[in-house]
Amino acid sequence: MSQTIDIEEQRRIIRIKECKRVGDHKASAKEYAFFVRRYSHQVLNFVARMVTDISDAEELAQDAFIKAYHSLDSFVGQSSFLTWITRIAYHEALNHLKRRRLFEVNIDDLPMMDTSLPDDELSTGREERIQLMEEALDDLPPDERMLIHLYYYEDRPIRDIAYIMDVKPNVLGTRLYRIRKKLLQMIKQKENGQTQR
Amino acid sequence: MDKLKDNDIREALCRRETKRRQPEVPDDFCDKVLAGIETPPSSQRKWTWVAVAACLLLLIGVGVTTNLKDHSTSDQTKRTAKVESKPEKMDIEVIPQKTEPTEQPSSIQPQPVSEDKTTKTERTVEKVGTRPQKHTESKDLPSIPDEEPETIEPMDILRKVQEATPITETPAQVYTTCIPKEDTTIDSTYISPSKVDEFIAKLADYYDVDPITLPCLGRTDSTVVSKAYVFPDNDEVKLFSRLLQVACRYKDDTPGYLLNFSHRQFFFTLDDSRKGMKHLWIAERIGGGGILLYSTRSPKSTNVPSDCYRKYREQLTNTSTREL
Repeated sequence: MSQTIDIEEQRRIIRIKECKRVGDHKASAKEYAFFVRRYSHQVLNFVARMVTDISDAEELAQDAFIKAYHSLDSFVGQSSFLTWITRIAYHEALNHLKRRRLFEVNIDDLPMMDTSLPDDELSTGREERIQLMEEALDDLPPDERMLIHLYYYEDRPIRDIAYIMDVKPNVLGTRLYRIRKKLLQMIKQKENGQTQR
Repeated sequence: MDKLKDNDIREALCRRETKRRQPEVPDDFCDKVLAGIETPPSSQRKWTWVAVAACLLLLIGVGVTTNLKDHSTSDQTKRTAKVESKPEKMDIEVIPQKTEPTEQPSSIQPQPVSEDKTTKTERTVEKVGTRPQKHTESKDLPSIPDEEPETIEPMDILRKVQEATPITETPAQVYTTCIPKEDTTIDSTYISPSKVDEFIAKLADYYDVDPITLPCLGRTDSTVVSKAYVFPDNDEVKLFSRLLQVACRYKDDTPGYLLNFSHRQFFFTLDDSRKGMKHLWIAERIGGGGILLYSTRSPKSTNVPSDCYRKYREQLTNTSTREL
């Protein structure tokens, strides 16, 4: 389970904390390199899902590791190191996107959502529907896409996702529902667009 | 009603993932992180905080001084005006202020007017001087909120999850229809049955066992996956005990939980109500020092015939018999 920390990691974290306490930064950095090597791929992959520019993603992933190192004292091992650093990386990426959003047009601002659409069954076949779904997923804002990804693709427990996204589990449920509804509407619009053509 | 199917979302996500190019971790990634770590920001941070605190103090100081100046100027003008117009009354007010700068009794006995004009003026000045003191003593300046932002600790989350009402109680009816009730109530302890497959895949990878995909439905249906592995039956692999360990991670009240094993066979089934899938694993000792492990995953509504597995097993045993 992601809520447990493996003994090897725990041992290393204790050693890092100890080294930091006595001011041996070289030794603690050497120990920390284990975590960077072990999880760099996962963290980078995670950030790259939210931030499209790969150099930005790399920088954010590095920042997440640096931040995690400096706040290692606050890590009490109630979650796995990976879940913890994922949480840090998520917020780093989100902050980056917020800063950038000032210069970009938000997808939510576009007049594409028609809430008056009836909630009837989608008329397309499965194959077509999945294709439209893929497109709709691309159009979702990064945080919503990430929620869908964590829940449906990575099968993470609600508790983990809530921890990563720093929200209450019941709020996540509502948010998931809204995103599903949004996806449905987006697909319907895409369907309508196709039939009109 | 919402007709978005969970399986469709998963399929779309799977396809996106396969199309997506995984980012490569650059070689210098670790070095860059370590370089960032080795420059301890603590001193820099400390100075930043010191600077911020100094600025705040300065601002507060300036604010107080300006406030006091305004206050004292207006007071002085007021008092001067009073002195000029009503000197006797002024005396009554001034004397207690000098002796008791803080709380004043409501009934003040007026002192006899026996002082000359210069003393009166001095007292007036003294009073003006005492006012700011009283003002600073009262400490009614806005205090800087120093409470820390609320952080959610993992234990809190755990507690909140336990306390939280099930997701089925959200106003979102559609959501409740998408996720079965039994699943949402035990959601916090949900372990995906696909974890067993992941474990088997890792084990197979470690022991160089190639998986064989069995086309059980005779067509390419991405929702039905049937695989067979032939593991060596020895003390190093200990497949049966490892599979049992994995199976023991699931509670016996997990939907579709069925575990049966003997010296010859291991049988385990689970339902994934979140995905609407059912999983089955059969491990069987076959001749030739091997264990045939069969795993299949399919939607609950789909019936996967056991023929393909049986045929494959027969084929294997025949082969091994022939080999013998």
